Amino acid sequence: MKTTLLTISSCFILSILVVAGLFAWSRQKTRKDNGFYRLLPPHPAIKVKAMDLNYNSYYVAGTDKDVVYLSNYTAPLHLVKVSLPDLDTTHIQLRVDEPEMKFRKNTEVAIRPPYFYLMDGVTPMLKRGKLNEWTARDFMYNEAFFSTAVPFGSASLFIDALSNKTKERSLGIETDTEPHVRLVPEVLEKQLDGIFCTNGKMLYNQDLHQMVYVYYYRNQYIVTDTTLTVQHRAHTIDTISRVRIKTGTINDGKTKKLASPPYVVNNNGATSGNFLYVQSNLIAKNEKPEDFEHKTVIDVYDLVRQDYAFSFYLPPYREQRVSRFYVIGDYLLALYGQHLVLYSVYNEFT
Amino acid sequence: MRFILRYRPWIVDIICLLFILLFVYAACTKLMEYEKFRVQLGQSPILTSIGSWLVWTVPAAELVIAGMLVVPRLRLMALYAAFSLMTMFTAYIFIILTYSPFVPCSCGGILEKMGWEEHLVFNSVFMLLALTGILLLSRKQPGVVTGNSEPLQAHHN
Repeated sequence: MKTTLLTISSCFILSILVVAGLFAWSRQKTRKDNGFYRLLPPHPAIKVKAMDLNYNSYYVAGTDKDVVYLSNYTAPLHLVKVSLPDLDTTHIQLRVDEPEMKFRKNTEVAIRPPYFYLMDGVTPMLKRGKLNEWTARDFMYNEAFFSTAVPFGSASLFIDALSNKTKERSLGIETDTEPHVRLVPEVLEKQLDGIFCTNGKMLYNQDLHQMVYVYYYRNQYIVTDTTLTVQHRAHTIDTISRVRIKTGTINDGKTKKLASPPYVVNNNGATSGNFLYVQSNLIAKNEKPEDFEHKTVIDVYDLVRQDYAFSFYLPPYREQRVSRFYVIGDYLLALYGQHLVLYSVYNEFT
Repeated sequence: MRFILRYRPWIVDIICLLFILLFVYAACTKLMEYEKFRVQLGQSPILTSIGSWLVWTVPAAELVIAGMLVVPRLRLMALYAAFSLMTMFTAYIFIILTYSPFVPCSCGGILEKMGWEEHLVFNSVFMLLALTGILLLSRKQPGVVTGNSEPLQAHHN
């Protein structure tokens, strides 16, 4: 009897230890060594509603409480106000103080309540107007060229521009006070050419007042405060730490071009609340290739804990993949060509 | 008590039979839906990175134990193994429910319909069954003398 009980107890304890050991080992592997596995909780994104926008050139320009504004790359003065979660739409025609003005194709609209901005970094042109008045006017210094700009204050923008000195990509801040433009070259870290290799998506988190830059071609993102002081650099979960692109210089010796198809790591990003959402291009070891082919995988990072949280899939809609997405609180808006699909996202897994 | 002792061999047989059914069923559903099982294990929050070899070892262990339960000589050992395996499953569920960031939503076959809490109860019942089996079987062995073994001997046939 004694030996029986002893054997039973040791079986019991050993079994528990084995499972606990496996758990600890697996967790360490997933979290630390970036052997690249995804945590995929069940049903984190649930489709709420979908609508047809009729054009595939819409993008999310910004949000205001329970409203999302969609702008259009081919018609920058045409704005659509979409309410959440009913997806009721209101069409808005923006006006400019110079009615004859022609817009370049890269003109972007950004909404940062109480203002909206019209931005074009090639001309360059910057205009601002009040929401509900909808007339854009010049409002500050706008001599700087940039490839993208993200407004974060009433008269301050993060810009992504070519530095005159180094001829390389640099992040900076443009404001209406002297010296107007301040580039902060140390934010981006050059790996190859300094232009393509540092390309990425610039985002502004309104809740944390942080700028997040997600590199397209390597597994990194950078978080800075509103003065572009780096707060932390973190890795996305995949293992591509070095940029895998080739660049070439053509003819005049000045123009740089991509010489190989780029090896994209992170396709797109969005940020809201404490989280960074990254659309990844790489399959993890614990995923089915079929899943990966049709669905869009979003990796979620906790910006406060500076750690990977979990991942989830956005299923195809009408046989299309997600072309752009945006997160506002618990809602995720995904654009599938001309269709807009609203999901509710649960962050309670973190 | 007398009832239990009288029908002891039958009870042990029934327990063994239940375990054989459970394990063969569980192993078969896992192997038949191998691909599904592989993905599920891979996406299990606590076994993410070690799912690949567990895919084989879990159903294999289940089948081996089921086989051992058929052979009378190996029954006791098999019951210990079954008890250990059920303990592992239970510990796994317990860890998932307490420590894991999220709870995965699937198991095999009918058990798929069960919630995780029900699963915990189900497993505990099987652990108790294995325990009963072990205690009943090991009593039968000669040379084991315990305080209350005297009256038991009287009814032993």
